[in-house]
Amino acid sequence: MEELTDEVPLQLLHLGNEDALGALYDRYGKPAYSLAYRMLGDVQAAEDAVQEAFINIWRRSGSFSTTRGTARTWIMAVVHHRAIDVGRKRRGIVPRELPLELERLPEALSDTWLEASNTLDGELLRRCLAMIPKEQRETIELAYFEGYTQREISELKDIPLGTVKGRIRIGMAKLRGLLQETGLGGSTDEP
Amino acid sequence: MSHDEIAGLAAGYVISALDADDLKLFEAHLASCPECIASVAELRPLADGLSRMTEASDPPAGLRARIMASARSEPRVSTPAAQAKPENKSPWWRRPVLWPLPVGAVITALVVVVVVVSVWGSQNDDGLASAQRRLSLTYDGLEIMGQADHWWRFNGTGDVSAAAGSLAYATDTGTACLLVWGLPAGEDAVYQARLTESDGTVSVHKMWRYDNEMWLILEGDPGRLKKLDIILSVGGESPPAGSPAIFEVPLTSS
Repeated sequence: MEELTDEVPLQLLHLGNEDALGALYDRYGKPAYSLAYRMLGDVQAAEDAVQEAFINIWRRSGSFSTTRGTARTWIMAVVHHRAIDVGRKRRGIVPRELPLELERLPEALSDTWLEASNTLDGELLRRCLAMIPKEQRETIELAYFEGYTQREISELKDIPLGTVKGRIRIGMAKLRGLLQETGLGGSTDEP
Repeated sequence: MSHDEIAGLAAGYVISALDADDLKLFEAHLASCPECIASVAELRPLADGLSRMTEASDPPAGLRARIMASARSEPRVSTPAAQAKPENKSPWWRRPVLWPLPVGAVITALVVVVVVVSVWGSQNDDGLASAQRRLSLTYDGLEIMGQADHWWRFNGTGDVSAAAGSLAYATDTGTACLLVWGLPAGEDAVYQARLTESDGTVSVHKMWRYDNEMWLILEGDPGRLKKLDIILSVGGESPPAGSPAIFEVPLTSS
């Protein structure tokens, strides 16, 4: 049987259906845990982050609409934020402000790039990331995977804040350009 | 700060790298800048892509059970769908039938009816019949959504900007379910869906409420309609067919 889209579990989640939460976990629990583990490097911490993220999703499911993004993007963003929180707590660093979650943002504008990126290939992205200058790559990785803010990276690396901002802005633009050049090809590589 | 400087924060924003001051500035700006909203929409998949670069790690075996247990203990409004939860061994979207809806519906409806009778024993038969009917219609709606192969999604604007909804059509059964949430609440608010056929014929159908959602089951493919909009009346009276729409379901964007 062809797999259903995320629409049905999301609709049912909105209605308070626990099976739908289980279904979303079955579909995205592994990539969620993989991301949390990559960020935190600790089984217990990663588990805490994923658990907090899914409970957060459960509490707030009614406010998410697929017109604002895919279920995967939403779930992974929530997991990413919770992993940042858990990581900072464990390191004894004060909690930081995080972006609004997807459902509270203005509705995203859909375009071809956005649709195509739903099948973004992790291996392809890894190759593209390796093609951008090392300083830009490291800055993006410090921000995304280690959860540092731009100012924290500036202090950590002892470089001007403007340089950090520039590396992230230009690095991400290059990354996007490289992916567009490659046609975003390939299959989804779900970790 | 100039627009270009603020716009330059978009990349840091999507990977959650902005410091508190920049974050506050950018989000305030985002609320009224379509260009930056588009920029975030374009960059956000990159953040999702970064999450795909991680080495696959299996979550601990008990994590799913712990999440489900925590979810059950959360103080969340339950619906009949939440009560009908057979213990499933495989992901339910892989099953030929989503779950035994008819059986679950009957069992849950009976359980709820017993509760309703015991708690509201003094209510009259009309109230009980109404509750039963709403439960039954809710299950019909869920079943349609489970089988739907055509979806329309929409968000309210203006006074109902907090509202959103979906229209699901199942070709197999020839029925559609209109579900809207986030509409202004109020016991005396009456919402109706107004269907305009291609020949101009108009019919109005009162939507029924379950918790904070408004539901309606429709016969036939909604794609045939010229227009489908929702009208509101406050005061308990059904709005006349000619009332202005509070929002329209965009049938062309299936």
